[in-house]
Amino acid sequence: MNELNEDISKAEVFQSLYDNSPDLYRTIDLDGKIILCNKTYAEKIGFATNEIIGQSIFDHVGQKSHQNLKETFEHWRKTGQVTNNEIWLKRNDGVEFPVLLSANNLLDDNGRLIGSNTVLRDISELTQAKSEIDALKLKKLAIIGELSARISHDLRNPLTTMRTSLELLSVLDNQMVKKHNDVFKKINGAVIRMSHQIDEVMDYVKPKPLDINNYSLKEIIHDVVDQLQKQDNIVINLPQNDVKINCDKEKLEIVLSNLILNAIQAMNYHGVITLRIIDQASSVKIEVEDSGSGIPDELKEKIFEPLFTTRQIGTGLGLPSCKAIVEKHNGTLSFRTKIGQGTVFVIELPKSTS
Amino acid sequence: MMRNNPTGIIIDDEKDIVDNLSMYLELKGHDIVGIGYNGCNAATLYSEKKPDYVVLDMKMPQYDGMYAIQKIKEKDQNAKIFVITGHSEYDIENLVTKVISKPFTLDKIEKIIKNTLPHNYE
Repeated sequence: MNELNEDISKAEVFQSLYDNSPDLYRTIDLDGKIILCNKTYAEKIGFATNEIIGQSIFDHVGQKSHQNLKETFEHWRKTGQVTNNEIWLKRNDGVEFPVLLSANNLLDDNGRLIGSNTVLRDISELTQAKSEIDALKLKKLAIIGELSARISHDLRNPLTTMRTSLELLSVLDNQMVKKHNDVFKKINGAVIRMSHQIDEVMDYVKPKPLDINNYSLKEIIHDVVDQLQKQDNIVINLPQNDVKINCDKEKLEIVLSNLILNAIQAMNYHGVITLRIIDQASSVKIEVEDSGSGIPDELKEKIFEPLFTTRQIGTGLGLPSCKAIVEKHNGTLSFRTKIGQGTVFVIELPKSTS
Repeated sequence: MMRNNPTGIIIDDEKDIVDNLSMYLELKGHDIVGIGYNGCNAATLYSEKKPDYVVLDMKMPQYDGMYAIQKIKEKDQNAKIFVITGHSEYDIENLVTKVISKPFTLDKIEKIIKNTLPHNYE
């Protein structure tokens, strides 16, 4: 254990630590008046120490942080502790900079509260670095978006060639095609899957404006289910009631088929899906319920994030695209889930789109 | 002379698409009287051949579909133009007869063309 050299006292050590700390220290009284501060505080605020003593903490914050500091101060008065509250201090030349404020109680020798010792950590560099990273991220996303759009667009021509060539074959030599129907179906199916993935990316990067008309929800739902591939172990319960709303039929069909396909996968191709139409005063809800195992807590926040997917294939744009489409209709897409019981996705659409 | 077969010209910079479309439409009784791979062919072919309709791609090098549409409509306001495109950016719904997105089926295009032309063929 080291002992302090006799030539220097503990007080001198602490004084040195106090003054030379990279953090800003100030001590305030119960009214928020500054009674002490360290060198770093004075330098960063741009006043001399003796000018600062007697000033109020509210003299050292900018307009936008005024309310924040007021609440922080009251919080300290009530609870005796504040930790890492971000506020913006103001230098004497008016320039503002961000700090993390932590404060605790200062008691006199009798244990009476007389003020607070506050540490303010300058996070200007951190904040700057963060915004640079964010800007870079945005730029990268924009580039990726452009790239995806270009690739997807370019793929549409060869896909057209493939599709039309298959069609021609079936017209030119129907016998041959019939004889090898399985093989042709595989090629055709693959082309269709590729087209859907491309559509998903294109829709996400360059969405088309909505084509709004009045439609029967019951019909839309029945149509979507009809077009799905028959699954032997899946029972789909359809709604019997109907509500007419204004929407983009094609886009709503995309949302519904996405949700139903997700449900089928979540149940491992085995179980019951229930579709409901719930009529409300100024809006209508469409529910897609599955009998799967529910969504675990740690995944709940992520499922609407682009590129998040638990599947091996697919773009991962399904749910975020669905959310975007519903929100474009001024509606909401949400879900409720219970582990072991299943999940219900809820599309809520307003009855009149303004 | 009574014309029975609908006549068309097909313009797309993707040669395979032009070939497939042309072959299919001829199988279905159309006369494809001209093909091209660029927007500048489109206008000249249209005035030379005077077809019943044009199938036109939008994105082509140098002279694109937009150019072709303008030139064709200058000569004939009522031209039947069917645009096939993979590109969602062109806002031309009002300028042309119908916009069909790629990838399409030949059956779909043929039916659309048939339904738009006056019934002068069986």
